[in-house]
Amino acid sequence: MLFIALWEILTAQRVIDPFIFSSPSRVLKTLSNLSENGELWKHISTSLIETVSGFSIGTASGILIAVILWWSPFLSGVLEPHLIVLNALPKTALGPIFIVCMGAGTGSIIAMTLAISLIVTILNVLNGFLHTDMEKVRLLRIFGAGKVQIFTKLVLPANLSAIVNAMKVNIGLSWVGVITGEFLVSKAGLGYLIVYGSQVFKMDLVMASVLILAVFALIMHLAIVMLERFVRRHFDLKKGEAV
Amino acid sequence: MLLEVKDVGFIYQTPEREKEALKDVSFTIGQGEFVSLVGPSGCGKSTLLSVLAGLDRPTSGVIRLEGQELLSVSPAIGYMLQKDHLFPWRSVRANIELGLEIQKKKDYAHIKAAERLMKCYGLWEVADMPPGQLSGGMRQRCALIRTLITDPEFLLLDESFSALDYQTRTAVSVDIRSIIKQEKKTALLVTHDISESIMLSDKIMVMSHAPGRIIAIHDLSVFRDIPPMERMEHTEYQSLLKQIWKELDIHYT
Repeated sequence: MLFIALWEILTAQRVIDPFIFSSPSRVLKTLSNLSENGELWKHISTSLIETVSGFSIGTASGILIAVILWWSPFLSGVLEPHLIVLNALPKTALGPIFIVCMGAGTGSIIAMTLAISLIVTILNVLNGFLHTDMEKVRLLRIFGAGKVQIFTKLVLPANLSAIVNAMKVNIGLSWVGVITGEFLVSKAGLGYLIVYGSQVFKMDLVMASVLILAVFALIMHLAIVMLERFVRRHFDLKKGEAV
Repeated sequence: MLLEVKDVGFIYQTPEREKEALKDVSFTIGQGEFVSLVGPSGCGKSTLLSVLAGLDRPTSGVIRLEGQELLSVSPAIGYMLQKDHLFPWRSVRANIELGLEIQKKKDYAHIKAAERLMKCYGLWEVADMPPGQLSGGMRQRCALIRTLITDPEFLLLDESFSALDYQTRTAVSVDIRSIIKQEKKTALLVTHDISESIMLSDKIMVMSHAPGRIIAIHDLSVFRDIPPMERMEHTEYQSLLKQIWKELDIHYT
């Protein structure tokens, strides 16, 4: 609140230029205009759908691939160097490839989001799986457990925290992917508003879009924090406890 | 005779070399016996337990349980590891039932048996609590009941009390021995503590330095009717302690 008040005062007093930095009152007016003409929800929903889709597919696929690589040490050995290279590669460089392959639309934006979040998810979750306490694995083998039981009774519950951590990282990365994709190709969404606003010097529109983006990113992050608390409460793992 | 181990050997294969961990290990254990295995560090005690549990195949020799050759993990053998390894996300009751779930034995009879053991050994009141709230001794009892409830014929205890402080270790080890005897199980305890082995056992086997083999077997029938905590006062205690210490041939430089 102090920041918002300071921002308003500094722009009103022309200490900082409201043309470049906008102001809270100008942002509110822009949001009101967008809302009145129905544009606000259209752009928000476009970005939200793309982000949630990319995040969900990226997280689910990443976990599934991590399970497959945990299951097969051979596949893990073959694919791990490639995953490390892909992780180091800036995924935004792949944007034009996705556009050419999938067309300039929602598909390529979701593909960009997926590319950014998938590799990180695989590496983080797989790392957690592989570092599950081997003595506990031994305990299950002593009882005669097969690989499925070892996974369902030990590896998965022991690594729920790692999975939730991966989701926390992914939510930010998903927004990066969506906004980057919208910069390149979209005709709708918060990223589109940002790049359009900057090109026509409507900085009020840029600031309003950034503000909405921050609010929704925070809401999604908080949802995952609540999930993390639920996992910790029901699985009784102390913070930082290794299993 | 419940367990027969004959000329068992085990060689570890590493990329650099082979290491012989066990050589010509032979012994027998009778029904209902509580036997200790003592030996210097690195002599192969835990390797022997892994082989007996079926986690590793011996490179030579044969192991028979009730006359049947052991070729892999068997539900007839229970193994209590050095640490309790209770799963923090499961309650005490759910931890105890873990082996039953894996072996698909979680039926009414076994659940009732688990309740009986929990009531008998002071875990009933904490059955629905997470194991993080239990004392060290209670955790070890929980781990033992988890092992006992699958109804193994033979129990392997791998330095199961070493993680505890001295006083707790003494109380818990006597407690665990008492439970095993009451449930009429046969057990092999690996320990580096000679006095603990004398206190708890019907028989003590001494293992040599690596490659480990059994170099002495001491029958503790002289202590049979003496409660564990009173064995230290017996005239034979000190001489047996010294004899075993000499056999272990541990040198410090």
